Amino acid sequence: MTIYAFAAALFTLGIAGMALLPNLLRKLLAMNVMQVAVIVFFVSLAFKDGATVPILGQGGAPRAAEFMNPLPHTLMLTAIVVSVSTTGLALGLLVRIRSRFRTLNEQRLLDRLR
Amino acid sequence: MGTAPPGRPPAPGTPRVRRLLGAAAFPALFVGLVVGMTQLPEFGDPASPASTHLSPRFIEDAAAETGAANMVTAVLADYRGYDTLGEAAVIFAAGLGCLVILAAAGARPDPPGAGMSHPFGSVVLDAATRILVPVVLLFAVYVLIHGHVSPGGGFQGGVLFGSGLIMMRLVWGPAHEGRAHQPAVPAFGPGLRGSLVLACAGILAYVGIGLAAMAFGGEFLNYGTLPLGGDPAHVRELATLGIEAAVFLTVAGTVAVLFDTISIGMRESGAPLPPGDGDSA
Amino acid sequence: MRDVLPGLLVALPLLGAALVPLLAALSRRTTRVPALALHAAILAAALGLFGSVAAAGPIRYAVGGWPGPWGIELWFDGLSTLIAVLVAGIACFAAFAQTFGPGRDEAAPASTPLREGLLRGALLLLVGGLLGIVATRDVFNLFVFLEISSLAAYTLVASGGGRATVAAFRYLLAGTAAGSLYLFGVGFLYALTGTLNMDDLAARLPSVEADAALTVAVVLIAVGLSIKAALFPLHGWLPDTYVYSPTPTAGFIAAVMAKVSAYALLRLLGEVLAGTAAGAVVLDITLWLGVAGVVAGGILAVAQRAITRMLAWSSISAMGMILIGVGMGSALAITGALFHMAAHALAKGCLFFGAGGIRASRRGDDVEGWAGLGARAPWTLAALTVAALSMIGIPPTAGFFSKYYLLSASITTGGPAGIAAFAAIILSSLLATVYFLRVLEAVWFRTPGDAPDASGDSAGRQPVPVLPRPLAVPVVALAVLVLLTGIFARPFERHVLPDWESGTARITAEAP
Repeated sequence: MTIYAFAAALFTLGIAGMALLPNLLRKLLAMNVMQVAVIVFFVSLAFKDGATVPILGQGGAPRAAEFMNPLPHTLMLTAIVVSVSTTGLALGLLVRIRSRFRTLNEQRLLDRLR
Repeated sequence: MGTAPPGRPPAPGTPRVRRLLGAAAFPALFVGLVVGMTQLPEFGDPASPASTHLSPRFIEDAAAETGAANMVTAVLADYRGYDTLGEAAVIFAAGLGCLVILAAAGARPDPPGAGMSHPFGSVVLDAATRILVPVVLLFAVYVLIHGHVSPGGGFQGGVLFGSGLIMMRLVWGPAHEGRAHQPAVPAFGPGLRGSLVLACAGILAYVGIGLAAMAFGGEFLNYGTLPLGGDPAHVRELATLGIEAAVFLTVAGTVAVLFDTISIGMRESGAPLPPGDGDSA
Repeated sequence: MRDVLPGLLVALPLLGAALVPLLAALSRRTTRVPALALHAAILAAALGLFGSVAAAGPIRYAVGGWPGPWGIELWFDGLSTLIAVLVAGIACFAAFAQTFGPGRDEAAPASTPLREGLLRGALLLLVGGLLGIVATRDVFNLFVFLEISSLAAYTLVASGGGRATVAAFRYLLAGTAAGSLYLFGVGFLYALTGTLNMDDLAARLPSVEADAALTVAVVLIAVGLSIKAALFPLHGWLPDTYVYSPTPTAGFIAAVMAKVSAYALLRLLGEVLAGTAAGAVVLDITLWLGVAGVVAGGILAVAQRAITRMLAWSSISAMGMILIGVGMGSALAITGALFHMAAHALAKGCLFFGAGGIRASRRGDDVEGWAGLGARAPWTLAALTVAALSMIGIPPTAGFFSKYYLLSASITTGGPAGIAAFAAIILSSLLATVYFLRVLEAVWFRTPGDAPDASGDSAGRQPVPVLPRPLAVPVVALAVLVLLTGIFARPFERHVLPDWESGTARITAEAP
């Protein structure tokens, strides 16, 4: 439960940062925090008491109780790639905004667009 | 924001209305999430639906059905291989995006000098890089191939390979120009256009394997129908390796594309911004 | 064919998205022909699936040969194939419009064959993402394809340069927040049921007793998808995105992007989550927010001076209308919502291609700039007029019939919600009359002012055409489709629109 609440706190912090921080780069960092929160949440769903990492070792047929749930790990591998890709594209956009408008401050940017 | 430099108004903060709205909305979001979470199965509960519904098959049958000892690889590249095609497409989209936004913006289609404008050349860095880069690239391929039986796979290997490419760009300068520090070092690795070709080739290989399965009468991405000989699990294992290699190509190419385009953009974007406007805010 | 088409429909766009940039990078020649051929093949696959589903019933397709819930399934019924045809069809027009390139859109960088190939690849990727959302039967897979379509859309929007870059960044923040909220909701569902397959979820959710957790899941999913569907008041990203996008992008995104998210909302809330208590409440809220969106979008559209911005606010109003239909949830209301999706996609695509082209070639985006254009380019302006009349809801255009179905549905729904929906739809028509008649009056009844290039400029060059051909063709073709859909509204409703049977009805019918 604690780890769920931790994910909820991270998520709230991230999304609040996206809305409230004045600098676009900081908004992007806050967005990353938000995405990591979801990843923490999913990975914690995979945890099983008394189980080990989902990689088959030597020995007999695997039993479900011995290994952690591999599905959330798989899903989060994809989610991490999504997060990396979004961040890369967002950085590209920020570099462009920076050279064109010479500011990353949201209000000033909106003033310059007016 | 700190103190503004003399003669400049301080950078504006977030509008007051939005701050007040946020002060109400975000605590509510947190409380709502936590209230919902109290009803979820306990952390680590082996009897939770997540642990009992789908995962037993992935754990107990994956090795026999797909030939992968690493169950995450089995689910990633086989049971949910379609998700992984989507994952490759997402990172490819980011590469396309940065190329469109930054590199292809100018009149020159492939600006020479994709890479850092001022490589930090020094003898120490140069010597260390010569030793490290081959190790990094080789380890990347190991992580790719060994993903079946240990942590690893196409994405992880691709990122490692891409970071090897970036390391060379950082120390020796752009892949296209004469090396700034050590002109004697032979040009190695793909430039910007080559990295794009790598990324495209990865996606094409992935979709190609999927379509080949259709040509042999299976569903899209049903590797079991491929005529590679041997028992179905072994065929699936081989095809999974092909899939992982395709992801590897896409990720390695895209990582280099992202680095090149963003560094081109940074070079063209001029002097650092004043504090209130960004760079140190 | 039934065995092959589902795979081709999802594989072809992704294949093309890599193939076209590869050709551009290697050959340095234009990639117009391969890209158009790919779009035509995708449309053919969508049409083939549509016909096959209409003739022989829905198709379940297990990607990779792994049946659900272990593998990822695709599901093609009347609803998903209809939206797929809509997406693939309008994509063909957008690909045709891409030959227009950035034209004289302000601030757009010069075009090169490589850049052109990259943009064509991004459009194919966007189509692939949207078709993936439409086809999938897996809630996590939906997230992956949602992100593919989003990243491709940010790219296409940002390719306008300048202000479009800022619009794209804000769209990216909103879109990523939406995606993460949705994914968090999926995490709750997974923790409660242990599955990601939509049919499996629908079967297992009634036995879940954690009401609060389920409510959180439903709300997170609904809010996430509502941001992408631009449901009022979560529409903040939409106006700038539509206004500053390059014209081919604006026409495509305005036509189908938000509607695919509305489709996902309908699938999940109306079908998968319909058996939950929270699902019903959220649908009611959707209805009321739809009413608010219809009214607010209409009023703000009247307040705009720039024509593209007026069209953007009118889109927010239209999305409100579609979500009113989704919220009412009866078979008639869903028919109306789907009809409105089709009618609005055709008309708004037509209007954005036209308004963007006129903005670029005449360097004006206000009513004054359009004065007297009817005399100069009667055909294209007549086409735009048909689209505008459809937006207002004048028979025999398609827009009349979608509003007719939605009004009938709101009468049968009754109660305060039905009355509010009825009033909002009538009001939206009145407001649309106000903002479109302003433009139409200028186009047909005013003489051109001293527009910069009304008769060729002083240097004696040829007068610039009102609409360059790559845009004029889609505009006229879409207007013809708007008319045909309206004239054949009855057969369209009978044979093209699916019979909607809500998930609630289905689940109660299955449980003896």
